[in-house]
Amino acid sequence: MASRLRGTIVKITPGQIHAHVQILWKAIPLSVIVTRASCEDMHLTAGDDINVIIKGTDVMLAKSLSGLLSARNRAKGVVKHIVQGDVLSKVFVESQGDTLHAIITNASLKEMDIHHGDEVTAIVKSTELILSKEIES
Amino acid sequence: MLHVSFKKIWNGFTLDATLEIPFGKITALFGPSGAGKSTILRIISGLETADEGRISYGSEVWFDKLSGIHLPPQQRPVGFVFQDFALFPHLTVKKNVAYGIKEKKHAQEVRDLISLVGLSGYEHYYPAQLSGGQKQRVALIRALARKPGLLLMDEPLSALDWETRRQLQEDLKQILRQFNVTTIYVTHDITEMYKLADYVIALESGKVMRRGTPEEIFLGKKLSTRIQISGKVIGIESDPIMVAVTVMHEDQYIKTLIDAEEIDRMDLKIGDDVIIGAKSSDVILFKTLTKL
Repeated sequence: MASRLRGTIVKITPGQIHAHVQILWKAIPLSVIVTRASCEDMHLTAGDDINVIIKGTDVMLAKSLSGLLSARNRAKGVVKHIVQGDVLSKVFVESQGDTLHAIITNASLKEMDIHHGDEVTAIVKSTELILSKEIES
Repeated sequence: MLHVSFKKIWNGFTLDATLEIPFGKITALFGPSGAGKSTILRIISGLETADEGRISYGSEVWFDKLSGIHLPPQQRPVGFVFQDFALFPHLTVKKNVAYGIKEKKHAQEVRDLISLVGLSGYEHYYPAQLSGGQKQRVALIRALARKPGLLLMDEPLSALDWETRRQLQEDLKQILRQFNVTTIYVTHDITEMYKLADYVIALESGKVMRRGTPEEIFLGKKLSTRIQISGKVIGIESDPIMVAVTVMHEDQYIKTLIDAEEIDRMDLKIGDDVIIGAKSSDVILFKTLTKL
């Protein structure tokens, strides 16, 4: 399932076309790029509670991550469960008390030797995150 | 604001509706067949009478059961566009549009309206010589020529093929905005509703179930995805990880790959209405070799 994280908007930096939305999810800062139009339509404001949706196919996993990486969103966690399909696998990673889902190829799963209990880092680029805000009735 | 609140009972069916229609906006009455949508239009226009209730248009009272007020249809500033066009078959395009207004005095306006919907050159054609889309354009400008305070449209595009329908949806949106006419639009097509409506009143079995913007009615949330395409699920091919879901949007099939658990969480089935959401940066454009 796409991961749904509940966070709070800390800062919004609007540009001409895009807006950079910084969110705090538990102890982890998240960086999200949306269009400025979305930001205005959704009336996003610092201090708002917000849902962050992350598609499993947009999540990358790393083991013993080192060096520099441009992706801004990283969460360390522990592998809790793995479902293997014929080509793809879904890896459930527990992080900050929430569960993140990563859909990766079986080839990567095997090459990285990912097993239950392993410590991994889930990585997502800022441009991949989707924001959702409940409509107050 | 048009305030409508009434009750009507016939053949064991109870229509009990309270509607508030904002001026200058397109409000869609959305719901399955038999929900009472068309009857509401007929009651607002005065073609049918409610058993009880009140209808007021700004400060004008059109109907009030208690005070015995019932303004006849011809005294209500209402334009009506029906699914079956309802043009006068023995009158030309020009005469149809000018019907009921002083043709000589409004000759320029009639010309402008005909040109607005791309029918210049067809002034002397009879309805039988026109395509379905052209007939509905004539029906629309005939209604607008009278400068109605309220335009009622009863599934105006449902008798047309997909391509004509899509084109007319775009044109309608533009023309209704341009005229800034308060419109009530009956439809049971989610795509049409999403495309045209500022507000939606969802009806079921003679009752208002929900009201709000299309997003509020169908999603209950606002999404940051700029691409939102409505459609109907017509195929689900299961897989333990990524399920292939085919969605029909107008006459197009869109194949999506969705996380299997997401399908279970939503209890997604064939026939369900859905919104496909995608980030603007998630697409790729290919310029075509020839004009499509």
